[in-house]
Amino acid sequence: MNTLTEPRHRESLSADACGPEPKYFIEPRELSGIKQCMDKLLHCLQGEDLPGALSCIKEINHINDQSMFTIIGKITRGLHDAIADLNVSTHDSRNDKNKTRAGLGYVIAMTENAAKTTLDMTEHAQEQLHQLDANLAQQNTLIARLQTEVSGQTAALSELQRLASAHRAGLASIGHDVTEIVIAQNFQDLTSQSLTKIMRLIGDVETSLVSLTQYTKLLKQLSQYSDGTEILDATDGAALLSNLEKIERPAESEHMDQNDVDNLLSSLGF
Amino acid sequence: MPANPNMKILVVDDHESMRRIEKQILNDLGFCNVDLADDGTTALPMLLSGNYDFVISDWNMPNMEGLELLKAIRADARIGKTPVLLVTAESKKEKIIEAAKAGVNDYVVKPFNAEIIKAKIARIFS
Repeated sequence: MNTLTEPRHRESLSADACGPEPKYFIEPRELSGIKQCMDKLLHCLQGEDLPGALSCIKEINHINDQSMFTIIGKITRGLHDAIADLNVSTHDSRNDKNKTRAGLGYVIAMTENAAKTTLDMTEHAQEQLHQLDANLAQQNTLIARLQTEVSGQTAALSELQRLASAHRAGLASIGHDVTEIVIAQNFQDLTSQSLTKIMRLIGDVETSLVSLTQYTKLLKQLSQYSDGTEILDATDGAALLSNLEKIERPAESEHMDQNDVDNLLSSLGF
Repeated sequence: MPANPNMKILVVDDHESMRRIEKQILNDLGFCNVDLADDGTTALPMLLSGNYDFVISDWNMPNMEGLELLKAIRADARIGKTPVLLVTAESKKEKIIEAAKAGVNDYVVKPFNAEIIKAKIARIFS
């Protein structure tokens, strides 16, 4: 019997049994880089090598910036792909991806259509019920007339009256059920409001992440010039200004097209 | 005094299915003089020219939402006393207080049933 204290035989588990390759939040290569720098930093501090220690700290910061950019980029790309798959776009798009059948917009449209069809049918049923009700009223009048005009048919007339009462009760019950079916359709309004809020929220998060990725990229570019090892020429300046404009653009226009976001993420290496 | 079954009612909601549901409920309750509007901007001119006795409105609508419509009704002497029932998914306390301050007669949180609407109408017109 397996117990919690029994050793696990990790080595016997194949990669398939473990599922897909694990995704690291920070790349192992970068982690090992930080570890090396820290070893070096400790060595410098022990040897009272202050310039060496400062250089190590600078290198750690550089790796940290690089990791942050990679993580934000990966999250942005993952969210963007999920948005494309789920069709959570809150705006009209020319992109065919938004027509995916798995989309949230599709769920709203389908439930709306289903609710409308149900309401069409229930309204039709209500009209028929009202007509049947009117017919029954006429039938009751006829029975009452027969009771006064026809003699010797008491049993048959009583039976007709009993049937009419049963029909009236049945119609009232069906009418009640139809009303309940009508009211049950209000789920569509509530679910579509919730989905619309989710779609808007995800869209906003995506826009913010795209901006953050661009901003991080810009900071990374600027940091190349801060230590004086690189010289900013006209081409570099133009590239920086272009990236700055890209950061400002999503704030000016409400939403980027799916293709625009795809292109932008690709240009940033994600 | 109970509600007059012949009173003229305006139902305002941007969702077609909700408008139809509310109309159906009102019909079942015996109110057959019911008109429909899909938001506040459509409803307001109807109210100004239509002699309505009662308004049932959603809160979250495009163009002019329910609270704005309520404020516009209360601000106009010609229709300012028309009873207004807000039927909405907004159930936050501050929203309900905001609606009360704006002069709403009663408030129904979705999802609702026919009994709730019946009780609210009875209370408003009692």
